[in-house]
Order: sequence, then structure tokens, then C-alpha cells
Amino acid sequence: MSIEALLTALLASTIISSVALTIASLGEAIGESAGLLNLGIEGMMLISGFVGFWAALESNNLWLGFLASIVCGAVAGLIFGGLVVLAQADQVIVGLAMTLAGGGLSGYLFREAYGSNQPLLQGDLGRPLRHLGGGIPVIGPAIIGQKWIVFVTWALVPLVWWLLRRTRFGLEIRAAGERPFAADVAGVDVTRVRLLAAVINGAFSGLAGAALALAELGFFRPGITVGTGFIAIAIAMVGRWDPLRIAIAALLFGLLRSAGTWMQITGVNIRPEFLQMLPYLGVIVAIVILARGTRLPAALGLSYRRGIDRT
Amino acid sequence: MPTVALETRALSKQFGLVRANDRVSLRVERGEIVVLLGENGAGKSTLVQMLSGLLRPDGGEIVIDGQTRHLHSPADAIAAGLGTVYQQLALVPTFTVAEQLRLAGWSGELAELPFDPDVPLGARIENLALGARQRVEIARALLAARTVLVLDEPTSILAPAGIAQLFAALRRASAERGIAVILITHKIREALALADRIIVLRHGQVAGERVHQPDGWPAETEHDLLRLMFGDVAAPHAPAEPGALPTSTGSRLEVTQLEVSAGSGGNGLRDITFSVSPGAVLDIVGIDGNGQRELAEALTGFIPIESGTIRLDGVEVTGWSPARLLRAGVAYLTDDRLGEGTVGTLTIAENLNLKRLGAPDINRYGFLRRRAMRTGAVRAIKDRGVRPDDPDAPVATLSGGNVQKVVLARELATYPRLLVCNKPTYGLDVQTMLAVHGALRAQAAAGAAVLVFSTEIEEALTLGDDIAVIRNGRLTSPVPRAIASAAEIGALMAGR
Repeated sequence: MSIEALLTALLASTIISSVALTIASLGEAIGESAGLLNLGIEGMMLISGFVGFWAALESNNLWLGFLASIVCGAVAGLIFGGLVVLAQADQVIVGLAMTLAGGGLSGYLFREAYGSNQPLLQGDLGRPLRHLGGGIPVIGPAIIGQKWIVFVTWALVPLVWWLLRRTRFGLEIRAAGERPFAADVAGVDVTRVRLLAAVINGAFSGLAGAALALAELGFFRPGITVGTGFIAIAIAMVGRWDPLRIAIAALLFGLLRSAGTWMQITGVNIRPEFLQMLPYLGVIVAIVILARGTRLPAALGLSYRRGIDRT
Repeated sequence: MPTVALETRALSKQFGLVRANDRVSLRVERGEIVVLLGENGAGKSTLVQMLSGLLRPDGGEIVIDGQTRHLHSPADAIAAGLGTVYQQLALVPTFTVAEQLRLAGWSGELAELPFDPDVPLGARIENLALGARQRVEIARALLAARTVLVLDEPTSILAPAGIAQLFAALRRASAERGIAVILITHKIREALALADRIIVLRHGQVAGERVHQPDGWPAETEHDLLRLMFGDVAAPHAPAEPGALPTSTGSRLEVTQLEVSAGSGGNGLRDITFSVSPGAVLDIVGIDGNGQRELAEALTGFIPIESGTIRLDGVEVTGWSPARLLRAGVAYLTDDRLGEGTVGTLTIAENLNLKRLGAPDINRYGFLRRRAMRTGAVRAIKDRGVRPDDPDAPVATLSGGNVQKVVLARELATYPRLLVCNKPTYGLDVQTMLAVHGALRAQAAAGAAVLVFSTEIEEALTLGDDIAVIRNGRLTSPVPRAIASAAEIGALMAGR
């Protein structure tokens, strides 16, 4: 293979392998902006990924699979929101419980449905730009060959920015996460805003699970997310809740993840376990360097009780 | 358009045993500026929170612009045309001024801003000075205040020049927009400077009002207001039996030029000098939050002392730890009975023995003798009249007065040389209050030096052999009860 072809392959795999992470991180950024620390993303991605995979396989319709994943994620988000916003349960505990429950339930249901078989999905909904010419070397071919989920993800980045920064709802979300008392006093229904943020957060997790199982891989397996949901929490923080920074951070993570496979293909003699460790090591380094001066939303992880809390 | 902007009818709110607001009825006209005056704990903040939708009343009605309103949330209050300026400023620190105002419903058109906060709209709230932040808060509140503007202690964060500006802005808003302005404060001078009418709250009730006349405030208004705020206490109650004669001529507690630096939330203490003899009660009276807690905690070793000395029977104990002071005979009744004074999940018997877990009668080789603990507890419960009389009842299930009885029983059982009590009767009913007074007098009669912090002048004049006033972390020289005057004490407390 030529150097150009190798680089194209590296870039293409970087892009697709960052998609699920980008979506999950954007969802987490919305939740955290509203003061909700959702540690349950991993579980929400797993159960939504399974539900979407099952729906797509049974109906033989990928679109239906995506829809099922998003709905499943939104319902999981609603459960999380109901517990932490309405019942004022501890966010960390509920989040971890959802990660464990989502992982366990998806594994159980998968075994119930398919036993030890590993069914595969047919088709991938197409690659919308593949009729175009290559354009710029390396970058051009790496982009035009991508599946449509990549372009949806890229469209979500400015969309989430616009939601958080340019809409009244975004203003309410940020006020609810920074100082819910001030939001309440300004006439904002903090409970409603946080519940909606939790549902959006869940729907994004669902889409992320679908992106992984239905678009990137074409199959589902228990524990398939291998920590992506937790990495998303770190990426949202490294990106300081800014969608563009989040997208870039997720791309860099995808690059480290792809680089391992790429180096094996190019014949570099390093143990694969070491290469698989690289992206996670990268996140730790990034957090230490980039997230040091980060100021979390002041009310992150805290519930708001009217008449009592002044934060 | 009705001329009455706001009316409350028998508005009531109770917290546990405390009636924070007891049938508060008042009327405020459009274009009128009313000052609600009262000392801390008089129920002003509770009233504000009910008006602004943060707290729901237990009883009574709120009528705004002629319509009875049920305010379930701040959004309801805003919809009714009532805006509130909060003491803590309800702003989002990371927002720009424009974002903050848009959150409160501003369209973004400068012409639609009811009040010019005189700050760059792109500046972040957290980078503004307190005075500027308050102007943003006023603009925010005025966006909602079509009928009534309520301000909760707005002058506490302002310098004198800022207060003058604030008052000018309020007069303009009330005159130009015809809204009713209700300002809450505990400072008489400010009330006189601003108000068309002053309403005094005391113990959660309307104690009286004074109206500004065309030729100014009537003579004696200031004196009247003091009396309304602090009650009719011209003559001290029947004097308690005088303390036993000092067993020695020296002082039990001698504090010299004590200073504590202003820490988190506190004012700090400056140049505190006083002494208490054995058998005597010194009552330090003051409005809550003027350094009482710091002084009590400095004397009992809980907070560091910057300079000055504390002597106990002539021995310097400055900087001793709470445990060492406890062993030296210093007992402390905190005003936070449930938080600091007791462990709610432990039983009465366990709480009674909490400070003497190593004592040989209840501790054998590290094992606690529960039966011995219970026997002692049953006796203490009977002596103090604690309800319920079950030594195994968790303290968290007791009422405030009974918790205080348990704490008293524990602290007095050690026959302390010095007893420090912070607000020992706060929130108690009259009977329990009298019982506590009696117990403290009895300790003094038995030879202890007793130091009491009170917020009520009556209590100071009932309990103290000597009385001193604390304000802003400074203490006046103690004067004997016989020559102390309630009016003078009240004036000192209010800072005149």
C-alpha cells in the first residue's frame, strides 16, 4: 500500500471510530450544563444499542433500529431524570446503577435472544457522498467514503452549540446548571428544564449506542461499548461543554484508537495490548493538561429544593 | 385600577415550634414606599419568601392588584406582577448582564429595560462589583415588578453612597411606574430616610406602624420604633435571687483584648475585654450574627484566636483545645442543639453520656455498661422533665425544647466552673424557657461563672447580673442590671 492510501485509511477509521463518542459527549455536555452528572451513559448506550440492533434485525430495517435506540435512550434518560430531579436521589449513585443495570440487562437480553450466536446486520444505509470526486488528497477520499451517520454527527455539533448558546432553552439549561436558585427566581421551571435535559442526554446516548452497533460495527455484543460512555464524560469535561472542542477531542481519541490498528497493519512490532491502552492513556494525559483550570457548572451533581437552596 | 397594590390577610407560617409569621396583615398602596422593620428573627425573610413564591403559607391570603393569588412558585409571583430583590442576589455568576436579563424575560430592546443598571451589558456578573451586581438584580426584579417590588435587606451589601443611590432609584421607580415598594431592613435610620410608612414586625406579628407626615416624622418616632422592635421592657422582670457571693475575690473568666480574624461569614472579634466572677451571670445581648457565635467558640477552643488572652481562675488557657478546656471545667451549650449539641440518631441515654464515655461507672475495659448509662439517664430525664421519658428514644424524635433539656442535663451534670450558653432559650416555649433560666441561675448559685448570649432584651434583664451589648464583633463594657435601661440596650443593639 502507498503512504497516501495508508494515511487515507487511518483518517477514515479515525473519523468513524470517533462518531459514537462525539454523540455521547455532546449529550453529556447538555446534561452537565443543566447540572446533571450522568454516569449512566455507558449503560444507556449498551441497552439502547441492543434494543436498536434487535429492532433492526427483526424488522430488517436499519432506520427503525436507529429510532428504537433513540427512544430507548430517551426513556432511560427520563428514568435517570425522574430519580435525580423529582425524587432528588444522588446523581452519582443513580448514574452508576444505570451503567450496571444497562450493561447487565443488555447482556441478558442478548443471550436470551441469540444465545451464543453472533448475528450480523446487512447493509449500512449508504454512503451519501461516495459519488463525488476525491478532491484534496487523503482528506477528500477519507471523507467521501464515510457513512451517513458521520455527517449527521458533524451536523449535531453546530446544532448543539446553537441550542446551548443561542436559544432561550439553552439559557435556561445553563442557568439551571450554574445557579438553579437564580433560574427559579427568574421564573424558569428548573424541574422541567432539568428533566428535558436528562431526556435529551438519554436520547443522545441512545443514538450513540446505535451509531456504534448499527453503523460503525454492524453487530451487537454484550459490553461492546468498552468504556466509551465513561470516556464521553471525560471528553465533555476536556471540551469544557463546548461542542466544537468536544468534537475535536473526540476525533483525537478516535485517532489514538485507530492508530493502534493502523500500526499493526503497517507492521510496527508493538504488542497490541499496549496499543489498545494508548487512547485511554491519552484521555488521562488530556484531562491532566487541558482540564486543570476547568470550572465545573457550579450546581453540577446538586439537586435544587425551593425555599431551602440558595445556590 | 385598584389603588391597593398588595394586601396580605392573616398570613401565617410555622417552622416546627416557631411561628415565623403569625397572622400578618398589611396593605400597601400603589406608588407607596413601605419599610418593614424588625430585628433578626422577627419574620421578615419568611414574609418575603411567601410573597415571592419560595415558601407556601400555612394560612392566610395574598392579594395582588385586587386578585387573590396562590403563589406556588416564583414564576407565579412574576405572573402576578411582583418582583423581588434578594439579599443573596439571585444572579447567575457566569452569565453576562444581557444573558441574565434575557433569562428574566427581557426582549433585548434597550427601550424595554425598566431600569438602567449602568453596567456594560456584555460584562460577566462575577466580574462586577457588589453595587453593580445589585443594580442588575434590581433591573431583573423590575422586569417582573409591574405592581410590587420587594427588596430583602438590600442595603447590607452597600456603602453609604450606594445606599443613597439605591433609595433615589427606588423613589424614581415608585413615582414613575406607580409601583408599590416594600423594603425590608433592621436599620431604623434607613427606614426613616426612605419610607412613606414604617411597619414593625416583632415575633412574627405586626407590632405597629408609623406614617410619615407632611412635615416629617413625628417626634419620638425613633424611640417608638425601638420600643416596637424590642418590646416594652422598661422595668426588668422580678429579679432572680442574687448569685451566691463570690468564693474568691478574683475573676473566674478573664478575657483581655481578644481578637479573632474575620473568617468565613463571620465579622471577627475586635478588642473584647470582660470578666465574669464565680456565682455571677454575664448576659451578652445583641442582634443575631454580630459575633456571638465567634466569641462563644473562641472561649471554648473551637476557633483560633488571633491575639489577646483568656484566663480561667488566673491560669492562661488561650489556645487550649476544646477537649482540654472541657477537662478544665468549661461547658458549652451551643445554639445548634441538633447539629452540634447532640447526635440525632443516638438515644437520650447515649447523648447524656457522650462527653464522659471514658468514666469508670459506665466504661469497663473499653466496654460500655448500658445499664449504668440508662440508670443515670432515667434520673436526669425525671429531674429535667424530658418528654418522652424513654431513655432509649433517639434524640432526633424530640421537640426542640426537650433536646435543650437533654443538653442542659448533660452539661450541668459536670458542675462546670464556666458555663458558656449561646441563645439557650431560642425557639423554646415559655415554660421550658423559665426552666432553662432557673437551671442557669442555679448553676451560678452553685458557684459557676455563667456567660449567656441572648437576642432578647427581656432575657438579658432577667438573667444577667451584668449586661453587655455585642455589635459588629465589638463588646460594650458590662453594666450591672440595676442601672441598665432597656431603651439604651436596644439603641446599642441597633447601632445608634
